[in-house]
Amino acid sequence: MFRELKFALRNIFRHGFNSLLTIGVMALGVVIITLLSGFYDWMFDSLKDDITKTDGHIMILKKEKGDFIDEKMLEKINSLGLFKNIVARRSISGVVGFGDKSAIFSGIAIDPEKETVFRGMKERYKIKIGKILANTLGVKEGDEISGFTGEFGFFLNVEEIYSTFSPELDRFYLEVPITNIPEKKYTSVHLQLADISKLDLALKKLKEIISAEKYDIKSFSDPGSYYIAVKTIYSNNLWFVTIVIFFLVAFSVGSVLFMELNEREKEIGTLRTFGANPLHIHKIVFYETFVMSLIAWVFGVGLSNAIGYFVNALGGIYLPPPPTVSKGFYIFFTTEPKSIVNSLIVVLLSSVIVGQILSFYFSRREIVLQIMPRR
Amino acid sequence: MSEVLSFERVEKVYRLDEVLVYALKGIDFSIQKGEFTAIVGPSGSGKTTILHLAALLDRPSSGRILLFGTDSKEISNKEASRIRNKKIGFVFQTFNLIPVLTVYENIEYPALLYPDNKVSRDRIMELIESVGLKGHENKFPSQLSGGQRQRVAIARALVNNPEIVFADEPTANLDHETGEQIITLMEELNKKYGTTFVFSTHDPKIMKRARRLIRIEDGKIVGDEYVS
Repeated sequence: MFRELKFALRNIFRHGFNSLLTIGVMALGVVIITLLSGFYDWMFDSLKDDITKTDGHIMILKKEKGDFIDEKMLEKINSLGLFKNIVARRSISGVVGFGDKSAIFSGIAIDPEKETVFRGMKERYKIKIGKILANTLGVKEGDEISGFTGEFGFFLNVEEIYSTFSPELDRFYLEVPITNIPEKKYTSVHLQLADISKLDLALKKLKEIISAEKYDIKSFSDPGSYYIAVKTIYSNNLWFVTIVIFFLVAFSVGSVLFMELNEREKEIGTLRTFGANPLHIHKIVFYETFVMSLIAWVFGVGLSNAIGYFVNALGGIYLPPPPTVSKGFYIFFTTEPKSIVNSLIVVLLSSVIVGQILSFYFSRREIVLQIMPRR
Repeated sequence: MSEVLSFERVEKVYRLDEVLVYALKGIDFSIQKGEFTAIVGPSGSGKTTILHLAALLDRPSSGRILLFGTDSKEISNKEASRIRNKKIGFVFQTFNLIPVLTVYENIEYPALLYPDNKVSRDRIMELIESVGLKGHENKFPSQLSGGQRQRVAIARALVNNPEIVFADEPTANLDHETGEQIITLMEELNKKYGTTFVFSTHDPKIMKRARRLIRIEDGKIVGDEYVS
């Protein structure tokens, strides 16, 4: 095998410019796949982190006709010993006023202290009001507003005016300190696992102690979840790019290799004169495409890592947020073994398949036509 | 002596665009083991076609070719490849060396194609010495003269100890002196290893060196004589 690889290398270098061009296209394919995968992987991790810090790994939601979640249920959940953080929230709606202005609102009652811990924040979590609602009321950060729901009234200091890319959310959104709720009853509980690998176990245990008729138990990685939806969209996008690259590499390798084998047809005829059968020719072409793919892959992975390192050093690339997410992303590059292996598979498969198709043609032509001097 | 090759009423017809070209028109001859035979005739007379058919590189349009007693029509493509590797050597007019392989590797290559070829480094070095290229084994074809390249081609043809070697105008691309040296080398190898040589030429000085002359003109044998 060492000998075959050595001969393959010599054949590659004998067609210097052609081979360089082919390797360049293959390396470009590797760079695109590796960088795109790297950026997407970083984004998925970041999104997962964002989602689990906001809503937890698991959410228990009161169904429309279900009972409120009470302290007793929270204790039962906590007693499972699987969660590092638990927060409870209560959906509320009502009327809020400031001076002579009032407006209806829809939001949640939260515990700012627990939210601070849950979200891993260094500073205390700030009570928020939607930007359009704040404008309607004419409030600024620091103003005190009052309001009431069907159950209770409240006063609160506006700590942060919150802007999302959803005007509907900004028009009605208001957070109220949970201490205003007369009864400790909640509409959702958010759980962060101490060990993410125990997600399935936690879901199983929760289903044993919580009625499925009254509550929905959802994990961040459920098929219908936002995280999975985003991941699916971007993964499909990556697949599409990968398929395009597969054909791009195949076309590029195919056209250059066809020219090379055409030039070397007399050589192929000579080898067949000495007893090389089609399998031998297939083998020669296989080793050449294999070596070219390996060179392109090593070069491509190196280049993509260098680009990624450079981008990360510059502070990442800003991308606008997906719908309903308040902030955009600065995406960074991360190297996942999976994407490096994928890029190898793509260039290797495309070049080897095309090489084998061409060698099928060149190894079965009439030998006398191959060895005859060309006109 | 035993018969290694026999042509019986062999015809070969090519189609060139819409025109049928009769390259061979009923060829009959046989070659015995150990012969040193020249097929002679003008360009386009069918010499190369005979060698191609004999070396299983092509199939006759009609007639029968017996190679080592087997009808070539009964030999599959796969078996033909094996026979070309193990029992036949071929020397081209244009040398046809593989440019990326050294002298040693060019000679060794046919032996590597089939794992059951037991060819040692000593055997290859002996062949290199036999063809007068000792010290050149690590050179690439581009670093050799025409005569040296043809010597490599002859050594390559002999590497698997073939029973018969076909040489298609082996001296045509060489100057006269080098051509003489190549024929002398072939003669020596014929005597040393007992290998049968069949070569084509249209050079009168080279044909004088053969022990048998098969004359061909316009696809037909017009003379077949043993010379002393």
